[in-house]
Amino acid sequence: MDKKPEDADKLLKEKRTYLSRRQFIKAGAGTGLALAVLGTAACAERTPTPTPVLTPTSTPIPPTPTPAPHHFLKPSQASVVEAAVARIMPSDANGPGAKEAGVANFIDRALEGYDANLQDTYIGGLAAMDSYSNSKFSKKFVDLTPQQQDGILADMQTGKATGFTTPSAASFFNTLRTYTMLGMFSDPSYGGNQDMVGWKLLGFPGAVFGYSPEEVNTCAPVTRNPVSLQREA
Amino acid sequence: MALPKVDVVIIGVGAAGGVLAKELAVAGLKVVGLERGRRYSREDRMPHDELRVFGRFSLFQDPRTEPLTWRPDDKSAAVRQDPIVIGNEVGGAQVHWGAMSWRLHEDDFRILSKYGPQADANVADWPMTYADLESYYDIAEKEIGVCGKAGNLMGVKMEGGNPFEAPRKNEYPMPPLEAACISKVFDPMAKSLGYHPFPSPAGIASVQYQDLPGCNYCGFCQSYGCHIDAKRNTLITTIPIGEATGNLEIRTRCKVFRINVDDTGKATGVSYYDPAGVVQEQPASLVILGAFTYENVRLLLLSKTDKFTKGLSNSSGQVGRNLMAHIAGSALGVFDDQIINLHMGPSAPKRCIDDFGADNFDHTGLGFIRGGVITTWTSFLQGGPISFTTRLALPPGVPNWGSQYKEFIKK
Repeated sequence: MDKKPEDADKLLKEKRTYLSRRQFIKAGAGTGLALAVLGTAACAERTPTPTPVLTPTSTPIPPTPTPAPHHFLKPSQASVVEAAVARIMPSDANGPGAKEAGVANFIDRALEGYDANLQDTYIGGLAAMDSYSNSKFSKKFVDLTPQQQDGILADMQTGKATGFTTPSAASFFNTLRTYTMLGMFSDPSYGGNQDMVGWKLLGFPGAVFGYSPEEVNTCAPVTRNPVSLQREA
Repeated sequence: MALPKVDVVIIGVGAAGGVLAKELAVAGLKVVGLERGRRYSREDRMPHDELRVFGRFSLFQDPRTEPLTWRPDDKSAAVRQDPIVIGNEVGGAQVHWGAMSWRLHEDDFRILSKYGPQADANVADWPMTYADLESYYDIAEKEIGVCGKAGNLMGVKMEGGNPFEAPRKNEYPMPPLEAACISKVFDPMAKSLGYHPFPSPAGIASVQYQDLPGCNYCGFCQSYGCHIDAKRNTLITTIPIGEATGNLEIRTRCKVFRINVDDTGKATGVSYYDPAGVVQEQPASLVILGAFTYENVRLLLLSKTDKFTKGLSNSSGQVGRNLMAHIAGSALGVFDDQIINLHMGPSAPKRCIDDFGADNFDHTGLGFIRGGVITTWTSFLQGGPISFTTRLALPPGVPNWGSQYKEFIKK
């Protein structure tokens, strides 16, 4: 049976030794915690992802015999992403880069899912990259030499590249750079970091369960092979 | 229609709310804890998935639906800020915390008395002293389960602990965590400069404690929930005890939007959205704000009435001012001849010096009071490659992309 309010107030008074203001504050402060954390938000489910607004394609997509691997990006857009991320994290003497890691695939899948709010950013940014590339070299970005591609990316990063509106050139470069890292170093189940090439590059052991005190105190490089979540995508 | 009245309603069942929920329920009061987030099982906290947790904020206030914004005044447009990790579940931010578990210095309680009013700053004395709190610190350290090494036992300085710490009656409940690799680098250097390195006190079990295992150094620590419950928080410590009394009910995914008051200003309960989005009113004799500072302030200001037009508890006009979360600066060192393995846990500071904390050093001519702890810290990088590559400030001359960058991060 629920207590009446009067009873509750009475109970509070009875518990006064426990609840005196001073002791009450002491009890809270005594936890040694500087901040009380948590609050009031998000009871409701996330707002549904808005339906992507696709811009009309200027060239018809050629029919392919196998299902297209892409989720959101068109093949022409995906190839720009792939070329750009391959320069941001290149394949070189230090091992495979973003192309081999499947970063473009990671980005494509992210744009269809968690990062759907960035769809317009990518559509606009990728188109502007090709326009700038055309204005500078009379070629599409994917047809440039690696050095020319580096030049375009550097111009974007420093804000020198023209023709970008939303996003700005620098902002889109930062997006591409961040997503290269996300795709390079996230769990392979998200579509990038294939064969765990990103983790191998850094000597990162991946989703380990833990280390023994001996391993912790040996202070030597970790030699075990990295482990992934091996989760269904 | 209002729900049946209870003795206490706690808004936010985290680091503070979770402690009070237990204390009040054990004392025999009927307590309802309203929590905006969910309640995660140990299995939910299992995936060592940096993208999901660190990159996509799975354990935090969602920056896409509730971004932090800032504006200098009410005429300016609010601008989205980089998200910070604000807890959003039962156990609150303590589920993902870095687990630093400090006591204040004795003179921290007497800043106004000691220094007098400060220009461009608000300083105040605490309404209690360190001595008043010592026994409660002791209780809390045992309840949380803090590991560390005492440096000052009842005034006796202890080798290996913090010589500047306030006197404590008891040793820490557990010995410090392993930190051999960083100690090898940090300790000799600190000592050679005349400083006093010691292990950071951490709310992490270093050995089995209260039936839960000790830390296994997985490294998915700060920002993550602990997959073996070695990192301590109210979700595993106090909340189950409170619930076992039958006096504590926690309602998850319930977002309080207003504290209700009568004409005298006395809180009468709260209004909230339940998981279905339906407005509920929960009357209570006592309302406790246990949310994050920002959210507590927001609620007080949103709960204004015709009689309390500046919001609640705000006759001073100070509610919403002087807000502060964490402040820290960091510097990166790269060692050619030492393997630190910074991906190994915990990400709480491992070794510290307090020689530049409080009033532990000569402030003559410096123009400021007090100070801070210097620690070896991997928390900022959260130990993972995504945070490492997206947050690391690079040395001058190292680009943040291309082969040269790749060469640097490989090192």
